[in-house]
Amino acid sequence: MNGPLLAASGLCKGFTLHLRGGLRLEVLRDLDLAVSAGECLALSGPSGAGKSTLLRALYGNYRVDRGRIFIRHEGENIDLAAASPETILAVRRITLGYVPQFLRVIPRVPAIDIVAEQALARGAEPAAARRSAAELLERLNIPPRLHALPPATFSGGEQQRVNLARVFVCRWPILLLDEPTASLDSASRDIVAALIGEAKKAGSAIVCIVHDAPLSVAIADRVLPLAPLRAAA
Amino acid sequence: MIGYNFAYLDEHTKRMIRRAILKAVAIPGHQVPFAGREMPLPYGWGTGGIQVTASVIGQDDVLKVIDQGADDTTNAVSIRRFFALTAGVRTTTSTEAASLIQTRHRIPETPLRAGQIIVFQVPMPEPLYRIEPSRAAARRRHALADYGAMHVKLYEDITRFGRVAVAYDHPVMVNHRYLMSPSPIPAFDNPKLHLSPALQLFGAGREKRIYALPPFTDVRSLDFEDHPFHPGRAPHACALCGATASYLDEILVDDRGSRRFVCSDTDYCETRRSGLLPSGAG
Amino acid sequence: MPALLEAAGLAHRFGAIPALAGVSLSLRRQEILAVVGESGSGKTTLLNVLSGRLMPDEGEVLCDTGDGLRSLARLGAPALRLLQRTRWGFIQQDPRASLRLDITAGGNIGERLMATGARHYGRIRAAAAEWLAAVEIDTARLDDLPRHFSGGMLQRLQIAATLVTGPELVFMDEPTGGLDLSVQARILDLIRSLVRRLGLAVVLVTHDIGVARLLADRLIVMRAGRIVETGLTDQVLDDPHHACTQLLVSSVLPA
Repeated sequence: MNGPLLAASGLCKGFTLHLRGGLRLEVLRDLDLAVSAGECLALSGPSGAGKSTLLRALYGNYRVDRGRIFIRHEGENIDLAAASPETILAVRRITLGYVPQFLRVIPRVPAIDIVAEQALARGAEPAAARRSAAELLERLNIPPRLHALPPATFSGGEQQRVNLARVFVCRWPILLLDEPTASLDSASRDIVAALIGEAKKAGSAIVCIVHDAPLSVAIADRVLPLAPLRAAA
Repeated sequence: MIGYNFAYLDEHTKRMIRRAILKAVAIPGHQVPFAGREMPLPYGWGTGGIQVTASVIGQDDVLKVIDQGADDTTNAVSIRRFFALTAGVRTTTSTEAASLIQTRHRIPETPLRAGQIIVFQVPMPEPLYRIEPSRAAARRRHALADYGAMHVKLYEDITRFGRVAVAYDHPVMVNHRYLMSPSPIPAFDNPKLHLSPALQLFGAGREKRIYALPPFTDVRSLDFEDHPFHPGRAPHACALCGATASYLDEILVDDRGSRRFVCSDTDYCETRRSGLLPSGAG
Repeated sequence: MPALLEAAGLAHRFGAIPALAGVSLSLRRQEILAVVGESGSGKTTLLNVLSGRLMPDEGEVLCDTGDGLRSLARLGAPALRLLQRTRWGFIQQDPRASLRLDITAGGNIGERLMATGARHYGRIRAAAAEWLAAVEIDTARLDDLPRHFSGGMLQRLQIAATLVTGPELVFMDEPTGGLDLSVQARILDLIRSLVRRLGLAVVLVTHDIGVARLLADRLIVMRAGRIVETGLTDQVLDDPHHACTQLLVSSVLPA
């Protein structure tokens, strides 16, 4: 399959803060990027440069003011920026995976069910889904005794690992990762690097934000630097 | 009686009531409002039944009036006298001989025949009144045949008592369409409503409603498939005539709790005792 | 996928007050749509119009009656009533408003069945017991009067009594309003799992953004009878565009 799996062009994104008298913040201006299968693009730049904003825009979570975001979904190129809500949901169901910076989950649901959810949504048998979830959690050093607990009481690092597991439990053609190794110790970081490596080998196109230099070197094929725009008055 | 129109009511009133009756007959089970008049007895004493009787009675009619099956209670006697004086009609205690029967809370045991009219006195014509306190809402329910709530009441009875506990005024479904109160007749009498050859008219004076069952109307008591309607009766024979298939009144005979069961229908009982019906029948 | 419900140009006034103005939306099968807004925004009026409880001054609601999309206003009272009793459900904020407190729990759940022709006591009772269990009420309470139930139990009972006829579309008006927080949480979990398990479409009115985020796929923000913002739930809540939405989102107290 030729051509990038993800191609954004002319992205512009700003925020109008009505509660601050209509203050306008421009974050992205005329941004282009493209990622192909098996390729990992790292976003770099200082805080406030718009890295998370870009990632959220690529997921359809932030709505861009201008520009196009082409996603290869089931053999067709869909412009996520102009897609209907059902289409975006469909893309997110099987094509576009996103690990946000913080775990925001449904309360009171056990960790293992949170992780198994995506596998179930793709039609796996409940028992098989839970087995895959358990295996992945253990691989990420979350011991079995924690699997039945809701992650609200977990430490930051444990929550981050649950965050990763719920996406990596399935294959995604395109992956968006926001600081996947934040709060993790070096052993866990290596596991995450391995997971990302396996995803690349399986043909996923990956965009990630990584502050950890060695990790970046290990997984990134290209780097896209972002710089903060000057805020409009 | 001098100074009164035939059967007490003026002709215009009778015409209005007949119109209501015709409408009621045309829509079996449906309650038709009518402009009830002030009668010389208070509400709760049969004013509805009297107005219906007064509107349909003719000079050649033979009138019977019963009160819980008996011809000889004070009220039955009063009403019979009323019509004897204001209409000059012949009266009788024999179901067989009557052409027009006014009744409070019973249907005679002797089967009615084509050509007879029976007029029921009805205290509360609205079968939903306990379940749906709003009159407007109750009318909507009738309009939409929305009767689930009535079955809920029966469900509750079965849950609480193991069986439907409605002893009298057991609601019926008329012509597969309207829910109707048969007036406070015992459940035992409900089957007599079904496909009766007689014309059955119902008058509620206080509530000012008339409804009707034309001859041979389909009338079914509400029940569940697995808890079918059961017409209840005390498991005794009449102490006077020995009948085993008539509805019985329970009478206390002393202050020690001794009781006797006798036929509620006095004419039926007397007829049996005088030998005009083969004993053991009925 | 064809729509289950479609509204076009809805407008309604209560005297001089515009309760709805120019409201259009559509709902697909198995979609959960939340309507949020402050008091007086028109969200409850919208719910009542969509569910056929109120006829709007202008505009039309089309609904799938199993026989193609038909206009709600032209259905006729008997067909509308049947629709509301079978394919649709309505869960009120106050369960006491829709339950009969002097009828047993089983009778309450069975009522919709009996209203639509069920006539077998044993089967009605069995269905009622099943649903009582599905909403996590002890089935031993089947013959108890709801008079003695707690607020949370009453709401569960209302849910059971509504879902018993297997509706495909359920309207919910602040289903957890007025309940203790811990009770709210359990009711929300119950609603969430039932909605998924049964593949229900839901139109949910709430002023609680957390509830919307938990349950809804899509979100509509209303103000003064108009829709000011709409999109996927995460879009609207994470990237609010309209001033009203920004105010709502910023007003949520962090736990």
